[in-house]
Amino acid sequence: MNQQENIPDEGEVILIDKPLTWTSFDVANKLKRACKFKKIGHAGTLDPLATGLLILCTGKKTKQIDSFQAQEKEYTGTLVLGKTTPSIDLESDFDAEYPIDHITPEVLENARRQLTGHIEQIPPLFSAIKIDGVRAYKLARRGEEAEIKKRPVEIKLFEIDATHFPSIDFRIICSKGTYIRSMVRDFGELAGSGAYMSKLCRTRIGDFELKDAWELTAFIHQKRVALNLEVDE
Amino acid sequence: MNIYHSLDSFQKLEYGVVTSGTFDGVHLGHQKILTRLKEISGQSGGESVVLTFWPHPRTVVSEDSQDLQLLSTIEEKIELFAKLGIQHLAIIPFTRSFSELTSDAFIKQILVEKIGTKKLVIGYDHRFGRNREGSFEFLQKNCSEYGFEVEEIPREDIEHMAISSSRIRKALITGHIHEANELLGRPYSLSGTVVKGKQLGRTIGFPTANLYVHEPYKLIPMNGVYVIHAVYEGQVFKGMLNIGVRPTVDGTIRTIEANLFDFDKEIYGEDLKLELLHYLRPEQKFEGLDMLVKQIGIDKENTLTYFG
Repeated sequence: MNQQENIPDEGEVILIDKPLTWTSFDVANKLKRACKFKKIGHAGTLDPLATGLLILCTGKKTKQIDSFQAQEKEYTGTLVLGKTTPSIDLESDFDAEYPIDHITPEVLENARRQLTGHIEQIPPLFSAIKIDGVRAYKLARRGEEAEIKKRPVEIKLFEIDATHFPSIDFRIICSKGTYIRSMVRDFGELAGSGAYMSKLCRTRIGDFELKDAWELTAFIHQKRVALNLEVDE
Repeated sequence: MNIYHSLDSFQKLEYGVVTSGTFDGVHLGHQKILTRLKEISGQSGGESVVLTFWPHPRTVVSEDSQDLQLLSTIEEKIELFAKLGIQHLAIIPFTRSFSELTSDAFIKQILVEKIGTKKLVIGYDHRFGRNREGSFEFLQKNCSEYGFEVEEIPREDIEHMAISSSRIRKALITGHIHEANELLGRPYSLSGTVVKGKQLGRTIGFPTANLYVHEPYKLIPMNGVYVIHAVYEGQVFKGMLNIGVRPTVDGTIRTIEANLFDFDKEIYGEDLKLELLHYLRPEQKFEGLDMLVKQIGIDKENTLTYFG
């Protein structure tokens, strides 16, 4: 047994502001390699086109991942009415257009209310949900009809800013397991149209806030300095 | 004014008097540059040219500024340049590859070969080219080599404070509409489409027009009640405006609602421009409809007093 293994790896909880286009796994892998973490995992996946708070745990702290995942989350973002994409975000191309001329603030308020409180939502077709043991996105990519079951979630707060219609800025506080893309899809349908998500940022997980998160390269830099590893200037 | 949406259609000029920049807001500082541009082109028998970039360079160069809010939509800028009497407006698509042009390449390929620049007019802090490396000093040193002259407009101050687009943005989001309007040299305005508002307004005697401002990047000033001029089909109406939320226990919806005085047309689906003149009060939650109606009555009195 070498000396390093004798030191118990207490591990740490790392808050990162996930860069746009990176997958959550990319962030974990990058940290693992750059900072020589033996064990690392993340709590609550963010889609590649989302930014914001990603919690990563190393060493023994990986045991806490589930408890972080169970926390309430807060997001800000933008949805756009009148068009849809298969993935609901801009990872896929537009597939349909819908009318928007009938959408008054009253219609928006009605849709907002219906998506507030204890609701049931169907996860997006393009998601990591498993259907009979197969990931939904694999079925979706193969073009197979997949029936995803409704899941209960709680939307504690849903604020919308209609001043830039048909772009709608939103803020959502929700329970674990809520899919924001499903919120966007359902909001579009409830408004008698369709919608896609153009922007998403996670601003809070439980008591952890985005403003306390590291920029990825800054975290790696200070960590490598602390470990006496070579750094690029 | 000739408008070019790319440089491909631009016919090289004999004697171009040129300025370039983003000109967000077309504020008094910008107006000073543009007025000087016209003077010089008049004196030298040349033609005035404005090169501007779209989308705003900061939204292309840095991902962090995808939230950047702007004072002017592209349509508003076109209107303001036309009003100032500019002869040629070239709107250069600001792509990542364009942002990587060196200042030398920008000058040679665009200013000289494409436009036919003989005089370049620039603001005191204007920089251009990759990483904003080009400056007045650089131009001053090298302009004879490029075959044109350079004139710099000194910093113009209002009350010893520099005019800048970012200062105006800050004034607007903190409710300082007078300061913003003073620096712009005109009232800040919001243009959009009218949609049916809450019917409540009608039942309490204050029918409102809801405005959708379609450009997601257009800055919406701080929530609150404003005195406005509404421009509908070229006619000006007095009125008041509420920018704000309708608070409920589980969230809110933010809207722009105008109440126009002496106006009784149905204008759903039509265009409307609102000029913000004065900030009356921040938004407030009321205990019941009666209190709300009473406050709106006071707001109207204060608005009429403002107009005198």
